[in-house]
Amino acid sequence: MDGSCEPGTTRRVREHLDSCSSCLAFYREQLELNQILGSEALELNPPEYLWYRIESRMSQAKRESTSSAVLVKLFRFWRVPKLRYALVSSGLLLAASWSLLQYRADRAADQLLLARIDAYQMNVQGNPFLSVLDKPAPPDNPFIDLSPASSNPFESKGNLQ
Amino acid sequence: MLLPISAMLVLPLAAERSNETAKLRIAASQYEIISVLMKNQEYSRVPDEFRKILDLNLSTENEKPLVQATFQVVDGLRQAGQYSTATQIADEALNKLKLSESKYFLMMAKGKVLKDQGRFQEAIEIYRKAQAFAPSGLAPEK
Repeated sequence: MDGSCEPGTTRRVREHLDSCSSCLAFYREQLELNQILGSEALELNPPEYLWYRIESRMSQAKRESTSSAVLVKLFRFWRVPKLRYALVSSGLLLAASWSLLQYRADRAADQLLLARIDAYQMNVQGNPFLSVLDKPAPPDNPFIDLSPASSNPFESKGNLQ
Repeated sequence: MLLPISAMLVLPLAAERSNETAKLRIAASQYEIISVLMKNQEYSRVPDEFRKILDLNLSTENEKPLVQATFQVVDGLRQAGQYSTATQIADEALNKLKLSESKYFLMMAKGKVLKDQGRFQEAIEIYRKAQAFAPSGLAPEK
């Protein structure tokens, strides 16, 4: 009808449309749709930033898919049951050994401290208060020497002769 | 003129000293009483007699013999298996004494009691705390 067909075909279609109301209705519908699609109302003017947003989203999606692919590759072994059990059991064994070693080290350190406590002694002989009382008291006035006067220097001089 | 001034300066000092000496004599007597009580295994009477020494409030200058006496009493009670009495005396003395060195020796004495009681973790804990009060001559041991 828009001239894309041969003239004979176009004529036969037009004759059919004159006699078939349902096809005529379909034709009108399509014609109307073509008019709308061809009109300027549908011409979109997207904003400039739209492409940048689309581009960034696309690159982000690409990155995410790449990193998840790496993770999947890394943990591919996890899908193997035997490997998984071996890994889990060795991990548990390591943790148990570490705890046991730590416990033994702590116990050894505790034993050492207890031995030190046990060995601690204070050497005290007799009544400790009496040992203080037996000490000569210092003079009340430090400038006064209360000790007995020394022998007469003149006497000692005399003895020398 | 100088005589009254010097007397004013010297006499209070002398009085204080004689007072402290008297306290030391009482403490020495109390220690003898405690020794007799321990020999006669009258352990329940020890804390009361020991408290009389603590109540004398000896000066920090004379804290050393007090610490030595306390250590001896606590250790004697420990050896006799009187753990609660030993702990009680150590705690009372710890509350009364002021010098950090004194606290160190008494904590060690208490640690020995706790260890003998089988309270190992408490003994270790008090030993570690005691290191903070260790005299300068004794290097802290972790």
